[in-house]
Amino acid sequence: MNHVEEQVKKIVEDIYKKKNGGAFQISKSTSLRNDLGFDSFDLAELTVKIEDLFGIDIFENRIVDTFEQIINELTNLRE
Amino acid sequence: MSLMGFFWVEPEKDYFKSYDDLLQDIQSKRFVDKYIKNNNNYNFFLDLICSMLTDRQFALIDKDWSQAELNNLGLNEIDLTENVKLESNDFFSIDEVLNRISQYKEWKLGFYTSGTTGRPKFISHNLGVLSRNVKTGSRFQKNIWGFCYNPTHFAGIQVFLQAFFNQNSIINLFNMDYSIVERTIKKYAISHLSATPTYYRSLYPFLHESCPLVERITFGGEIFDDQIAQMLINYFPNAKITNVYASTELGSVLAGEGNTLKIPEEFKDRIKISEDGELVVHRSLMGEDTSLDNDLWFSTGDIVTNEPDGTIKFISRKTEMINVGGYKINPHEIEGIINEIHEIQDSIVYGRDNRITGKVLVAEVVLRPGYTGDMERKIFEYLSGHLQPWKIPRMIKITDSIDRTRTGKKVRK
Repeated sequence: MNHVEEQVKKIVEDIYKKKNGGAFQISKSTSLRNDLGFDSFDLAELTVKIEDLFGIDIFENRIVDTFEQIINELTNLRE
Repeated sequence: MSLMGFFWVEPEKDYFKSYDDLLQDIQSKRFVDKYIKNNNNYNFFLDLICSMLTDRQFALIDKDWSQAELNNLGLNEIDLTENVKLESNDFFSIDEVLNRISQYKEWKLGFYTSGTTGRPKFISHNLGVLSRNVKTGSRFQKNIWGFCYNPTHFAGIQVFLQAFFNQNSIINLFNMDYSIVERTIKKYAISHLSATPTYYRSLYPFLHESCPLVERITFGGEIFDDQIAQMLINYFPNAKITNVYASTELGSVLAGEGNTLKIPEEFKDRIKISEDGELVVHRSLMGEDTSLDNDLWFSTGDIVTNEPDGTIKFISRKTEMINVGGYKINPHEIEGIINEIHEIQDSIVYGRDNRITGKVLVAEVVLRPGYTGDMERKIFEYLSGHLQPWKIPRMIKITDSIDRTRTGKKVRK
C-alpha cells in the first residue's frame, strides 16, 4: 500500500471500529456499504475527513463505493 | 466582610468605592461623554449614572473595539469626543440622585448589537424599557451582587440597574480567575448571581464548598441549561434558580423559575407564539432600532412550546436547526448531552456541508482543565447510548474556547 492508501485506510478503519469494534480488513474490492456496512452518515464522515486531509471531495463527480474507487478518484482529482 | 455602604468592589485589585464616593464623584462631574466607554468599570458606571441625569441619548462602546470596528459602526474619532454638559448636580444623597433620574423621561441608552446583515444594529432604549424588570423595595435592600457580565452589554446594564436602584453592593466577578470566585462569593457574602450558562459551566469545576448565603442564581443570555442548574444546587443549596429571556432588541421580556418562562399578564396581548411555534413580540415592547423592518410583530427566531401549566419553554433557535440527511437536528440538544461527559466543559455543534447527507454534524469541545487527548471515540460511545444515530456528531474538534458574539451567543459556523 502506498502512503495515500494507508491514510485512507486509517480513516475508513477508524469509522468502522468506532461503530463495530473488533477486527477490520480491507482490500481493493471491499465495498464500503455492503462489506463494511457503512450507512450515509458513515460516508458523510468519510468524505469530510478525506476532504480535510487531501482537499478533495471524492463524491464530487461520482458515487464511489469500493476502496479502490476512492483511491482512483483521489488520484484522478489530484492530477 | 461587611459591605454596608459600598457601591462597587473589585476584589482582585483591592478597589473599593462606596456610595459616598459615588455621590461625591457625581457632584464634581461637569461633562459626560456621549459615547460611554468602559476603560475603568467604576468610571463607566459613574458616567452612566451621570448620563441618566440628562434628557439626551447616549451609547455604550467597548474599550477593545478596533478602529476598523468603530468605523464599521459608522463612528469616527470626532464622534467619540462629543460630550454633554451636566446641569445642576448638588445632590445630598443617592436617594435624591435616583429620584432625579426618574424625572428625565427623554434619556436614552443605545447599544450596538450584531444584526443579521453583518453590520451591527444600533438599538436604543429609554429607562422604562431598561428597568422593566427591575424590582425595588425593602426586601431587596440587603442584596449583594456578584457581577458576571461585560458592563457594556445589555445583561450587564440590567444587573447594574437592579443593584444600583436598591443601593446594593456590587462585587465584580467578570473576568475574575475562576479559581478565586468561590472564595470571593463567601468573603463578601454575595447573595445574588446573574450570569450565562457558559459562565456557570466554566465556574463549576472550581467549586468545592457549599455557599449557603447565595439566595438567587439567574441564568440569561443563552438557552437555559437544566443540567448545570441542577449541578449548581449542590454548591448553592439555598439558591432559587431563575431564568431570564432578554435580548438587546427586546429588553428583558420574560422571566421564570427553572427552565420555564412566564408571559406577564400585562404583556399577554403583546407576546405571542406564532403558528409555527416561534415567539413573536409586538413592536411597542421594543427599543428603537436602525433597521428598516417595520412589521408590527418582531420574530424572535426562538422556537418555544406552551406547557400545560401556562408557562412556555424555550426549545431552540429557528435558524439553528441543522438538516442532516432529512433529519432536522437541534444542536442545543446535542450540546446538552455532550456536556454531560465528565471531561467536557462546553461544546458547540454545527453543520458542515457534504454531498452525502447535506450536512454532517461537527462538535467543537472545550475540555475541563487537566484533561487532554482524543475524545472522538469516547464522545461517540457516550452519544450512541443517548441519541439516535443521525444526531451524533461525526467530527470532533478539541478547542480552547468557543467563539461568541458580543452578546454572548455561540457562533455556529
